[in-house]
Amino acid sequence: MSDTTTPKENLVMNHLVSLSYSEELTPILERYVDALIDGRIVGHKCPQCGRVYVPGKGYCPICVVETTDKDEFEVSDRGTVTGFTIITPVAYYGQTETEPFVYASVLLDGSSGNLGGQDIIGVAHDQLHSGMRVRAVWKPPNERTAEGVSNRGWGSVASVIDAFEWTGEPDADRSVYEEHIF
Amino acid sequence: MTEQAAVIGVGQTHHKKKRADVSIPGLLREAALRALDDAECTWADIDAVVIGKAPDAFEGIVQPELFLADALGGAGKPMLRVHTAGSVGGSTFIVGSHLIESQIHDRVLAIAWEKQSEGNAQWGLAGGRGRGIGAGGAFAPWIRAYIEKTGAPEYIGWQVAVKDRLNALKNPYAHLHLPDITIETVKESAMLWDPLRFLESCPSSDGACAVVLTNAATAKKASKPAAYIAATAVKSELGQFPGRDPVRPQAGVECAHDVYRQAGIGVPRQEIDVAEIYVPFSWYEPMWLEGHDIAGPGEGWKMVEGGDTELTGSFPVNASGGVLSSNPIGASGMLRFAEAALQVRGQAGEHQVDGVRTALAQAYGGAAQYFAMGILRNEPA
Ligand SMILES: [Zn+2]
Repeated sequence: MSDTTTPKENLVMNHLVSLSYSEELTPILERYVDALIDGRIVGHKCPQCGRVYVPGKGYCPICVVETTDKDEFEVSDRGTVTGFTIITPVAYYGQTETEPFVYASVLLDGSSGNLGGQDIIGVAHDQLHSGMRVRAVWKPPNERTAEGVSNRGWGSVASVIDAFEWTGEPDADRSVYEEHIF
Repeated sequence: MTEQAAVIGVGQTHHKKKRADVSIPGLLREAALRALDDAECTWADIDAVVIGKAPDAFEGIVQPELFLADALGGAGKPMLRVHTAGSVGGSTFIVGSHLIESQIHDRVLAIAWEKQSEGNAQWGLAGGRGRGIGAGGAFAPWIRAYIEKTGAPEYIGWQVAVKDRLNALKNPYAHLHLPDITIETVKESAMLWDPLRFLESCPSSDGACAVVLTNAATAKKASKPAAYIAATAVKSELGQFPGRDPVRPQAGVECAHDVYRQAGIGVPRQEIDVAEIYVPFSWYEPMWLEGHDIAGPGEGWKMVEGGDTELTGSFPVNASGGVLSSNPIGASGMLRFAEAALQVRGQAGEHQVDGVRTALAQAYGGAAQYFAMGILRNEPA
């Protein structure tokens, strides 16, 4: 037996594995991405309950009914901040952030669910609050891509929208967002 | 259910930031051997092993249960892996109890673990991508929503952070022992995910927890007192859907009501003597008190403020020091069940609450979307 009281220096091997693969999106997500590149945000509106899912799922999980292209529904690129925090980034391999950043949820006008993990600009971190009205800051059309949109995801907009900017409008009423915290 | 299950052995490691003295199998064996000793059993008495941990990405070892089978006496026996994110330790305990209740096995070893120092949970949670927010970042907006909705004063979070760390001083296995912690030091610690401060957050720990489960008939014959499992429930829901209330998730409400009903509990606050609840960030104590209908809407923080959840209070929560004092992620949920078992067995040592007959154990995970709960008693049904 070796001496267990003095730990030996660890042997460290940096072994970085990278896999590149492309994913074929569902037809609904193809339409969602095409619209995003075109500067529009589309989802599906449930024919039974009227809830709007962005992107469309092809069904309403609450009513358990199918939704199709006929149920496509365009939502606004303006919305309301429902919840947020300021993240102090933790360092790890691949971390891109070094300074505190905003992590907010935005309820787009016309949508029934939030867009999570958005950056809010045009307002100081300590002034940020729920109810603020914001609008999308789109990337230039030639820089918009489908990257980050996945069949397993929740419909990222990061490849087309840089951030949401405070519009300066009066805050939305609490009733608009209080049931939409995420 | 045809047979009641009971805990006859409990074991845990000394949880630390880095257990450089043991390998992963060694860490698990430390907890398992303590549980076997406590149960007065050997490996040969175990019919099946149920093992749980959080995502494999946390240590970067895919399907670690495969290489652990030998170390856990699993050769030739059924060995089952459970995974339900942060609630996994609780679900693993419950899956083990089902194997007893269904009379498939007589003695089951349930074990859960994490060796955070051998990987990077932040990298794992972020899937290797940038802009990772960690668990604290995911929960912070909901904590803000709770504070906004209930008007709870900011010092409630600090109070929970101090209370759990003072309890941990009485628990030799706890990772954090912070004798000098005060409301002031919590308040002055760095803001990590507004409104959560550094000392309001759980540590990153290496650790494991194991229990030996058997049927009530065998448990009654054991030389030490057993913890009888009066109720268990596991519930889950989608992490996001329109109208979801992440502050009071429906799955958590239903999970609680299910175990209260099974155990014949009408007024949980009066009929439960001690609770071990998964509180990785201070505010989750009042949030789960309300989310599991132990306190009414907006009343959870008042229980904290009034000292009810302290070790000597009317409803002690996390007498062990809780997740805020030790967080080997996969094991954290099972530790809630193991500590609840120790309390009803009267074997919690210095952090024992007097006269415990009924204990609640709870674990949650994912986007507060997976729940595992149990009621343990000092007597069989
Ligand atoms: Zn519907």
